[in-house]
Amino acid sequence: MTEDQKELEQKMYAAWLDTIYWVTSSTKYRLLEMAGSAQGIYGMEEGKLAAVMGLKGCEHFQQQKERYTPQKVWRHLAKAGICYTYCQASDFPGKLARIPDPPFGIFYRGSLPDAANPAVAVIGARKCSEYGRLIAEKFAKGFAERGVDVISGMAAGIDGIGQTAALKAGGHSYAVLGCGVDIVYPKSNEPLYRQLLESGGVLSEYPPQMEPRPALFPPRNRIISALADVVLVVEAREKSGTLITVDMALEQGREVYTIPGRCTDSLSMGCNRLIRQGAAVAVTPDDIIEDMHWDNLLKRQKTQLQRQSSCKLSQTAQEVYAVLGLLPAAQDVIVARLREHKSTCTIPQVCQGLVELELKGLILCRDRQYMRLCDEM
Amino acid sequence: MYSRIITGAINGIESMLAAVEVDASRGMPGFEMVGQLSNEVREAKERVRVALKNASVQIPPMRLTVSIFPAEMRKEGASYDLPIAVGILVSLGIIPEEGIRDALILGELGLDGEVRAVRGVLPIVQKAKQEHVRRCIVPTANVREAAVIDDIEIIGVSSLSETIGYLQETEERKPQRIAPASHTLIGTCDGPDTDLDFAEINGQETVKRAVEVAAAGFHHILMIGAPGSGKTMIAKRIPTILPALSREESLEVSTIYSVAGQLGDDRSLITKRPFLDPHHTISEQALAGGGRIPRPGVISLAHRGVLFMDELPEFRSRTIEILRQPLEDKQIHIARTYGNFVYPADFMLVAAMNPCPCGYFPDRSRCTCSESEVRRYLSRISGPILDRIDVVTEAPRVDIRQLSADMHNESSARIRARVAAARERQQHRYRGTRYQFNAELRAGDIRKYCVLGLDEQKMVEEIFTMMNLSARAYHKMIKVARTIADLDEKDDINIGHISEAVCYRINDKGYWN
Repeated sequence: MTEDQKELEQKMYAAWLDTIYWVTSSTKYRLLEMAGSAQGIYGMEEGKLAAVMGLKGCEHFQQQKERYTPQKVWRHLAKAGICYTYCQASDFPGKLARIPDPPFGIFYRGSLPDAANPAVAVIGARKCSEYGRLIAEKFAKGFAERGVDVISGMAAGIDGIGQTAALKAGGHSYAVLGCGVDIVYPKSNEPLYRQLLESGGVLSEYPPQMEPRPALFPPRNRIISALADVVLVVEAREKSGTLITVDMALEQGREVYTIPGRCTDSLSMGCNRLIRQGAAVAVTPDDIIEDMHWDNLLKRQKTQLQRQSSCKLSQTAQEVYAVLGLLPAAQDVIVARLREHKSTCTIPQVCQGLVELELKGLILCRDRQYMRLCDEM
Repeated sequence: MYSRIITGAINGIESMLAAVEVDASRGMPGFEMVGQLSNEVREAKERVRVALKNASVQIPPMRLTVSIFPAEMRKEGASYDLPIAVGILVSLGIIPEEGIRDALILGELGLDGEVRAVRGVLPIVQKAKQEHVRRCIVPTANVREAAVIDDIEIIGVSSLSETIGYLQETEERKPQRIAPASHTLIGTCDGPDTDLDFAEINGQETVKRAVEVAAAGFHHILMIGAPGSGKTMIAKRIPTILPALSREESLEVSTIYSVAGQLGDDRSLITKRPFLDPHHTISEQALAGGGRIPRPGVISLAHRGVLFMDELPEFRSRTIEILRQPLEDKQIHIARTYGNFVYPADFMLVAAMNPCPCGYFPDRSRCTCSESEVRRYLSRISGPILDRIDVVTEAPRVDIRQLSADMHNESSARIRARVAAARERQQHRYRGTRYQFNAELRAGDIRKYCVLGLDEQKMVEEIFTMMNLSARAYHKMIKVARTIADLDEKDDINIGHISEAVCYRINDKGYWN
């Protein structure tokens, strides 16, 4: 039997153990220490098992043994297109192994992150603002263009937006789920899920078919931060699940960056508080890349980030642009601001200005709200 | 003896002349009524008998046969009471036959002989005039309504004995009850004289402008905005910027109201643009028109006026879907056992809604709705309905400084003048076609009436690709641009017009697509 075949055999047993979802990863590690190999755990005496898992746990363990064989579990996984690796396997991500409370094994679809690539976790609130959306897109795009992987949780809001933007820019992105890797949650991210399978991967320490539950999400956050070199918090309320990831990241020794926001915005409260506590501030994707000394990447893409338009604008367009900000504003708000500045623009003129700016790619219109795309011209 | 009285009948909103024939002959005393009568018409027998008794008319024991024709049409309503009573009196020789020659009689009878108001007097009198009837005898309560029609003598009666007295008089001595259509009586058809005015609204300039554009081209409009941003206030003032009803339009609208039984002593002719704002719990029947012989629904009552649907997503989706056909055909077809009915329903739809269940989206710091909640809320309005709405505008919250400021806002009258001018341009352009307004243009004719120059064509193409518009959105944009050009008194659509039209689109990139 070759080394590869031996490892596959061991993986089979480990996968079998990992489908028993109620056994914690620390228990699995203790069992592995006692038995020496995954196959060893499968064949352990009841007495030794009971010493680690208790009598009841031992009983469940035996039941599982009767119900499924490791070969059967492996066949099921293969059928569903799900791969598996565990802590003793050679392809187990090194970043994961070197954290406190590492996962025992990882189920995944697509591929595992390339250890040679730098990775940033772009995370933030599910109910994000337009500002958050814009920033997440901008940073994720910047990272993707420079070959930095984007790690996140495929959640609604910042997570999904960042990952979608990274994939759109031709980069790689990996999602760590709080449910089985064959379950798409939330449903609205189905297109993203498909894209991730093609240019990235979907990972989870939970067995397939596991439904999402609130208790499953905090533990998966430690995997998100573990896979990344840097954790970037785009938007977070003062009490946010995102901050759990930040705690994990600090525990694992990862760098934490945040996007500053206005101190009155509840969605930036978490970020601003992090800054107060000493988190680093990122204003452009390059800030992080420079700080992290991923300089070779920087050179690769420097030319691309030229300002897009310095074209001539009409008088009205300039006036309109002057009162627009990065925060979305309805057309009527814009008109009111113009009036405050004693502008005599009529509504048709304002419309013309807005459309001119939008066509030149200087502003963005979404849900009938207008905002600047970048702050300088 | 035999007698025949001309009366009128309403079928849907179609009016027709009918006749009540009465024969009094010797034989077993009795009272027979034939001619496909509904219950309320059948019950006329008792009302007529008692009313005649109370008007001190002695009916000799004879065999009375009453027939109402055309026999194939089902008769409904109580308007046959008076003609039946008069018919009996003529056949008994109490009223001379000359008295009823060329006269149309309508009215419901009370047991004491009182003549009560009936529905549909206006269209019936209108029909009578076409059929060269000389004189109409109608309940006093309906006189104003009937007097709207010129060149026909209208006599109002309030009791059976008064009617008998009038009909017994010789032609020369008959008092003239109502002069033929005096305009002082029916009120003039001037502009709306409501106390609402656009000058009262501070801020919301964009919305006001969008409303002006919509009114000018008869485009349907949707206002999206947070609670308390003044959507309802603006909607209520839309009739004040619509041009006054023409006399023909006024008659058309009044006919519908007459059939619906909504014309009364206080109003004889609808001279103001109707404004209807049904509550969102309204049933499908109430909106479209319901009943065995359907009465006009809210959408027909809003004919030539404004139908305002506040909180559009709160309406039951089936109720909203009813609007599809009327928005397209400007009329509604209702099929019932007794036939198919077509009611006019050419209204301007003004809808208002919150952007999400809590009302603050996309202001994320205040909105508590999740993305899927917002999406679900918006999806309550189906694509086909959205497709028929040309102008969408956002009404943000007005800030306190604007509210309290003493602004010199434009009055409704000034806006109305512009709207009227734009409509005139449209009428001039569409002379001899089936179109009246820009909103009605079909895709094929857009190219013919909305000619774009080279620069404009280039810009439209740029917008089309950049904003990822659908073909339908593109057509809507051009139609609205046409209206804006009309408001601007320009024959050609320029870049400014197109830009403004773009701002009124439903954003294709947002939650709504």
